[in-house]
Amino acid sequence: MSKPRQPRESRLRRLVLLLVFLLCLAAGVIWVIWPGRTRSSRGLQIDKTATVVEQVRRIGELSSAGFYEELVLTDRDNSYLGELRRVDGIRRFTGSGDFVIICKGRVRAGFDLTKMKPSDFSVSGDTLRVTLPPVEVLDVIINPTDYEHFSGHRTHEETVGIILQAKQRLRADAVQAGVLDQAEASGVASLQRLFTSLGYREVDIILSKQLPLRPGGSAGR
Amino acid sequence: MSRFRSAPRSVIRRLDRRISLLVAVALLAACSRGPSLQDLLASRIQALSQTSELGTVEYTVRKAVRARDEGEWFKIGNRRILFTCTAYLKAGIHLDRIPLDRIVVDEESRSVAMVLPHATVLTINIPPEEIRLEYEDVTGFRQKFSDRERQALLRQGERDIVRDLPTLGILDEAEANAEEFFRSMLEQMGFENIQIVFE
Repeated sequence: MSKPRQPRESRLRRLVLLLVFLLCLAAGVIWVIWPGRTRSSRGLQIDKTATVVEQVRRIGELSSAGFYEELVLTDRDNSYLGELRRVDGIRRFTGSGDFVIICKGRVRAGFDLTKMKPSDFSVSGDTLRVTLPPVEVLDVIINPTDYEHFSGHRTHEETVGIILQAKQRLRADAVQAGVLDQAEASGVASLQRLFTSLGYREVDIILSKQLPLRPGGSAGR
Repeated sequence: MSRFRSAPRSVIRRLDRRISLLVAVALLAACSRGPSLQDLLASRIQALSQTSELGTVEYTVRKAVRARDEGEWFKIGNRRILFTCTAYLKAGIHLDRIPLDRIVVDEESRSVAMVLPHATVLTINIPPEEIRLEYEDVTGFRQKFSDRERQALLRQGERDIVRDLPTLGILDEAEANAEEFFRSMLEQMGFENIQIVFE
C-alpha cells in the first residue's frame, strides 16, 4: 500500500524544489533589474552642488577684437621607455605613450576703460577729444569644454601644466596675428561712431603709448 | 609508430608556414607609417575677428564638482573624486547693437536720450590653474579616474555653472553698471539731463 505513494511524494518534492528554484531565480532577476536597487544602475554619479558667488567686481572693458585658435598639444614621454616606444614597429603595438590634447581657445583684446581719468575727455565746441588707455589682452580662455583628450595618460596637475602652456602659446599667437592692432582699429572705429551719434562733428581719439604686455593679472587668466 | 611520428611533423610544417606569414605581415606593418605628431601639430586653425563688447561686471564664482562611482554589481570597490574650481563670468552689452539712430540730443538743454541693448554674458573663464583636485579615493579592485573621466566631470561642472547663470543676478548687475558707465561718460562730455532705457 505504501509503495505507490513513494513516487508521488518524490514527484511532489521535485515540484516543490523546482518551484523554490524558480522563485529564487525570479527574485535574483528582480534584484538585478529593479531600478535603484541594482548596483549596475549606480554608475558614475555627479552630485548637485551650489555655484557660490565669491566676488562681484565692477569693470569697464571694451573688447574690440577676438582671436580663435585650435591647436594640438603634445607632451612627449622622454624616458628611455618612451624613446623605445617611438620606434615604429614597437609603437604600432604599444602606442607612443605621448600625451596629446586638442584644444580651442579664445583671446579677447581691447581697452580697460576704468583706467581713464576725467582729463581724458575734453570738449571744445563741436570737437570731442578722448584719450584711450593702451590696448591690451583682456582674456585668454581655455575652459574644460574647450579641450579634448586625444591620447596618453597624465595626472591632473600635469594636464593643468600642459593647458597653461597652451594658453601661453595662444596668447603669443594672438599677438603675432595682430589682435592688438585689430583691437585698436575696431575700438577706435566703434567709439567714433558712437560719439558722432551724440552730436560731435569732430571726434579725435588719441591712443596712449602701448605698454609692455603684463604677464599676469586678469589678462593672464 | 610511424603514423604517430609523422602527424606532429605535418603540424610543425603548417605552423612554420603560418609563423613566417605572420612575421612577414608584422614586418610590412612596421614599415608603413601613420600620421606623425608633427603632422598633427600642423593642423591648426586661426581666426581673427572684430567685436564690440562693453563688459561692465565680473562675477567670481566657486563650484565643487563631486562624483562617486559605485560601479557595476560585479565590480569590487568604489571611487570618489572632488574638484573645486573658480570661474570668472563677465557680462555687459554689445555696443554694435546700440540703435544709433535713436540717440536724441538737445544741445540747448544739454540733454541726451539713448537706448541700450539688454545685457548678456560675454565670457565664462575657468582658468585651468584654478581647477584643483581636492580628493580622490579608490578602493577595492577599481582603477583610478582616467583622463577622459576627469575631463568629463569638469565639463559637467562648467555646464552646471552655465545652467546656474540666470539665478546669479549677473545680468541685472551688468545693466545697472552699464547705465552708470554711460551716465558718467556723458556727464564728462557736458550733458546734464541723461535718459537711458534698455530695450
